Amino acid sequence: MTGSNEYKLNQGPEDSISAVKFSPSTAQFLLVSSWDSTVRLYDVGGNSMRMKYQHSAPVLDCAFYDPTHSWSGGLDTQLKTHDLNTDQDTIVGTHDAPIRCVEYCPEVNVMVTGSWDRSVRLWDPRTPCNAGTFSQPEKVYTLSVAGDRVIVGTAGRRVLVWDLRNMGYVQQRRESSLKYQTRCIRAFPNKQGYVLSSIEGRVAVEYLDPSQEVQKKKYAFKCHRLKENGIEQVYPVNAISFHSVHNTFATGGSDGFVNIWDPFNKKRLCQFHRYPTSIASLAFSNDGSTLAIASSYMQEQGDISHPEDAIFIRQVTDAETKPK
Amino acid sequence: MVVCNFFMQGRCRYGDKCWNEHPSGGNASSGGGGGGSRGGYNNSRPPSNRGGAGGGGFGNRVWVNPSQRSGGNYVQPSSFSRGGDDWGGGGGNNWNTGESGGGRDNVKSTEFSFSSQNRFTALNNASTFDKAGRDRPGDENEKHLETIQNDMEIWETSGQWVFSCYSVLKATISGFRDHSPEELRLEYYNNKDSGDLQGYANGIIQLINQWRSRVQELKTMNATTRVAMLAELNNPVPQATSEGFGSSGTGFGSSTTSFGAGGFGAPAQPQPSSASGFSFAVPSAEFGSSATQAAPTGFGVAAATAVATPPPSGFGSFPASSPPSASGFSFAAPVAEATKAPSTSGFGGSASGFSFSSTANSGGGFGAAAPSTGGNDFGQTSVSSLFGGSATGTVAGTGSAGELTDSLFTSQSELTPEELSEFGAKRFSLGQIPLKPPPANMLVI
Repeated sequence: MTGSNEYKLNQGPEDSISAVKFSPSTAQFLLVSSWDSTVRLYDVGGNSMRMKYQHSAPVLDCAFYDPTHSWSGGLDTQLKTHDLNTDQDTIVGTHDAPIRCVEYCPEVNVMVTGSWDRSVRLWDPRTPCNAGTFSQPEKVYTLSVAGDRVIVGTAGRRVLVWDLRNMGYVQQRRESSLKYQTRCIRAFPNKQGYVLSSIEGRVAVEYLDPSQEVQKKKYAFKCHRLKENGIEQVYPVNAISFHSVHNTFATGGSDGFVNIWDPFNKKRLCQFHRYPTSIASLAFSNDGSTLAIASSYMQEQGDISHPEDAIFIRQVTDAETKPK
Repeated sequence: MVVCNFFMQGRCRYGDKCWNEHPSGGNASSGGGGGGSRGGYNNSRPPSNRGGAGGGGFGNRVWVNPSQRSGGNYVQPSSFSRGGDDWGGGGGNNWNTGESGGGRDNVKSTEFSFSSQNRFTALNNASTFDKAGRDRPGDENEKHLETIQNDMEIWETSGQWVFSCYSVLKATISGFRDHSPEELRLEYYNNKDSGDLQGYANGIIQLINQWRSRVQELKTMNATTRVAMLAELNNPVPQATSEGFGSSGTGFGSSTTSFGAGGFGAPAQPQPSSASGFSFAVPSAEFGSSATQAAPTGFGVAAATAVATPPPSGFGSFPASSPPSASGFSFAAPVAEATKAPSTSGFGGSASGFSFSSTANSGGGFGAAAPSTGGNDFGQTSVSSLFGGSATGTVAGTGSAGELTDSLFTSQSELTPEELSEFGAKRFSLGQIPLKPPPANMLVI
């Protein structure tokens, strides 16, 4: 589509998309994990699929360790790492239940995975091997790395902050400030805090510093709600992604909209057009020039016919992402 | 030191920095002064009692607190110096108590005098005024209940994800379980492979029905729900999961920063995602000290809730009691857990799988399993008796507690035949768990 800043990726996954992640060094490569049990690597500029590898069950999350290695885990409970140069994969380890989140912490050089077996495990990417298992109070639904800390969001609206260099104890034990199930947590690039979203069309911005004056700055707002026939329909906010440079973030919900927010001025910067179906995942590239939007039905209403799952690549401008 | 006149009138601009004396017991409520320039304003006046107002009266004044005055509405007790009208200054005439809502400190100038009767009338007016704008504690609870009701209505109509926990303030409202969409989809896939989609659909429908009935309950808020809700709201029982916390189990007590205000606000509902039957591991993990694993003493599973009003530090907290759900939890009889510090709140043992469906949470202490760990503390009486007929309600009574703490074992002669048979049996049967500890000779290792 020439002349437009957005296009759909070819050879997309055949089932729902669970996660999209850009390569840490370039906006050219995108890793996509899907419920069709594959993890695919796309060349975004050339709009083609470069590589694909399989798991034995749907894959729930993927992450880049470095531009040549990807890690992924899912319902088969196995954590795999794949060398993108040699197209070889290795099983690193397992959890006792499906792996829900995979993230990399560059500061501590460790991969972090969270699972429904209520544990967070650390993995040393060089060997690769398990570097510890840490149990959480509940099933892990989401996690995000902030510097040398990891913020874990679990069932029961709990949020735990762990210090990756000292995992003997939980650094902070908190509760989500929202009333309903936590859907996604992402940390600010400046590591001052995190953004938490729930199934109730609400997003909370919170800070990590436990002191009172900083905690007073936290707030929450409603979003991704549509008024249909006079009744407000509430949609879960499934995805959050931060723009690395401006510290603004994008949220995607099951209503099919993507909004970009400025957390410091508490304003919405931009809303894109409505996508064919729910937004399952969002990812900004490392330089903030590109946003990958996975529009993929999330089975909230069971198995009904739905628009095709697709990944859209959009070149975002400063006007859309920069605080005013 | 010279007594500061302005302070006596409650309007010293310099506050602590004033060079004159501010006698205590006088007008402690005088506001801080400008602080800035010591223009010597105060000092320029002769330090004498003004206008012949009795010096002895100073100590008795009721002062409007100038620090509470807004903008130009400075309250000046013009009659302070009887006859002096240089105080008449700012808006001296429009103070009646009914004015400007919320201004509690407006005092009628005319009423203002040294006599003690009027002093208190000023107070009376101010205080009733004050109350009008403020909720009494009971109202707050009402508001919370209303919030819950409204939320339920919105939840029903808005098409929101139903498989979510719910909480108000810091308290998680029981009866709602967290399932993420991915987990449900996993169930779907599992069942699809085994061909049992109908089973999956039924499971989902069941969950939805449970949710719906719970929402109905909360929406209509009859008396029992109301009581239960208030109990939950006011005593946010942290419902920890059944498994131990932390990798090494030692320690979240170590860092106090890990707790936000008030310790554990964070309740969680330890609910399974799969529909199949399931059992919790042994509850454990006490906060604030090294984790104690209470000996299960032959009981498979326990879910216990902490007693009402747990202090924020150091007590054992246990998984939630949730309304008995159809998806078969296997709960054995509850286990009593010893807390390290008996001075902290006791513990409750309540297994939700049993008779009651209400959400009231304070559990009673149980004698039976306790003896293995001496020196137990017993919690409050249970709200509903958990064992069919037996008089567990009295277990927590001090009588038996005293007895138990004195001796770890009862002699065989003291036990009734039923109790003896219970001790002799492989497992305790529900409803007949003996209240006294077993005789020493029956303990077979």
